[in-house]
Amino acid sequence: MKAVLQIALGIIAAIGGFVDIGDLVFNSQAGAVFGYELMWAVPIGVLGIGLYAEMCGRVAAVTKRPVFDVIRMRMGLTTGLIVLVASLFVNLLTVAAEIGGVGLLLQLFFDAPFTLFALLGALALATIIWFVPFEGLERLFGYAGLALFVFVAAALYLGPDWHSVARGFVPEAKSSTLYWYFVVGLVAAALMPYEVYFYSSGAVEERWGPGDLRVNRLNAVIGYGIGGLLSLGIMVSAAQLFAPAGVSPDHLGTVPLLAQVPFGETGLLLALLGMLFAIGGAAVDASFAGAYSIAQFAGWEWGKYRRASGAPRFTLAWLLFFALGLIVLMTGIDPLDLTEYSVVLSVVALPLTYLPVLLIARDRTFMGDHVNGAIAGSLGWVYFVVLVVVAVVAIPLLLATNAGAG
Amino acid sequence: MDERFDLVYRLLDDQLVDVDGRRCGRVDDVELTGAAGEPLVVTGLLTGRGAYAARLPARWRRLARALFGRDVRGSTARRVPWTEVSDVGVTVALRRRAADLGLDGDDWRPLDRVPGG
Amino acid sequence: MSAGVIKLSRLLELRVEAEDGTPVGRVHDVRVRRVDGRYEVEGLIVGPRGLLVRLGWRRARQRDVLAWKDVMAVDPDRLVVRRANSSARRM
Repeated sequence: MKAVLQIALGIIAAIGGFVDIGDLVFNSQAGAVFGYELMWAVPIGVLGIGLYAEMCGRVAAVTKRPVFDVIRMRMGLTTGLIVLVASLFVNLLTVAAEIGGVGLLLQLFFDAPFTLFALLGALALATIIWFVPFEGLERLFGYAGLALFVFVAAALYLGPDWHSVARGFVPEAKSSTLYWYFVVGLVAAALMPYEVYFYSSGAVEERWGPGDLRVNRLNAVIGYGIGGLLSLGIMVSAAQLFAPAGVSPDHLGTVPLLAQVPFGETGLLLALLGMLFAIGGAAVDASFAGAYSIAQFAGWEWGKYRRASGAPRFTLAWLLFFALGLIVLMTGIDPLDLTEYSVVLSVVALPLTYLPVLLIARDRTFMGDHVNGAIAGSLGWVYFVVLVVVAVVAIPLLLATNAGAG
Repeated sequence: MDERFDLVYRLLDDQLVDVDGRRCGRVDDVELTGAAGEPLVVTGLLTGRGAYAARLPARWRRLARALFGRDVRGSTARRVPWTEVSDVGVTVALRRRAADLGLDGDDWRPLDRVPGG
Repeated sequence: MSAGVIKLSRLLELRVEAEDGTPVGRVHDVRVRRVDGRYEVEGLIVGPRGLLVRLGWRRARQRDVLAWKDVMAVDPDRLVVRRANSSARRM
């Protein structure tokens, strides 16, 4: 019974940890600009991340190899180095965007310069990471992120036209480049690579073995599946509140309004709490993902479970990521623009890290009986094609729409 | 260790793990001793960023040396005698502790004194 | 020829040619075998430098195993082998 509880708690934490600033920005803007028409893009992204995470988790549990270990081993030094550099670059943009999001939210409470809040936010997160063990970190940010269900509640409470909502799940081939930019953004925001680097390394941190494969599958299917509801809740409530008013949320502070309008102060506080912890948790995950990538590629000792003194270069790496993220923010770049760049550029790098994992997951010499089954196998390749297509059109769409400015 | 295996597929780029289970680098190159017409034997492993430049395409070698450093044994790269390898499996297992093999360059004593972590 | 140190990285970047200059391919892998407690190079896995290999993907399909005893010289820029394909076996 206790084991079931543990598994349930882990899945609950995964649900709350699903959303980050990229999802918040793209889903709220998609709802505001296109109403329900982009609902169909979210399940595509959610299914993709569920599939990718399940494979990475399975590979890590069976072979004890997280993503960048696999990449170095299968692609060698030269190609692996190219993939590493690309990943670190987009990871850094992501860390900066998430810290920026934390800074923006803190700024809603007190009147002081943004950079000060970014710095305070980064220091607070670094301190929490330092003293809290790995599993505790996931639980802390994950549970608090569940407050974002207030957006799902808002969406239901506001009574959407369910007929229109249902139609939104049917893709429409529109000719608007902005429409397709959002499709890319929504899929990319759900499929951020740092999440899988973090998830697969976490599997090793928590000493998963073949016995944990069911947990892995539940995390991927239920955790990300229900987490995807949070994204849809944001989009639906934005469609109901922002779209009719012609408001496009180009400031992060507008998003909590989606909960305040139906639920007043309570809604506002829940939204802010959820956003703060979801984004803060993502900052932690992304900086760790960067540190995991370098350490695993180079062969250094790594992992929170080794403690700072047991994995010094790894520890310095994630601290450095926070510092560099702050430096990026100091350039004065708008955190929301930065969010859009980090999401779009991440999906360009995604196929490079997806393919090695897919190839290992279907390789019997490594996985034994735990190779990809029929579903993971065929879907795995389908998604590879989807990711390549999305990666190819991402930058042209970003430029054509001026990062969603239309 | 298998009686027969392929160096690139099984050994190169694999994780080194010492006798205490501590990760201590990767197999960044392999040292072979011999010549054409004579036996060519595996005599050691090389690990460290100093070994990177030799792995990268010749065109990028100068840039690689500038970025990763030259092969300076004892600092940017270290040699592990083949006799120190106990097994080649999922990882390359070593017979002794990383510190005894000079592979503890990762350690940074100041962090030991900081509480928590 | 006196014994010297040859790094694996060096072998992997040499082009392989027959005595008469016919190109054979590049070294993709080195097969070793345990002999009297030591690991000796039994053969080289040689093949064309296809796109997959260029992209860094290992285990490209068709390759030949060239016995080490058929290697005549390790020059600075190439590996010279005795009569290409005389000892080669399809893998």
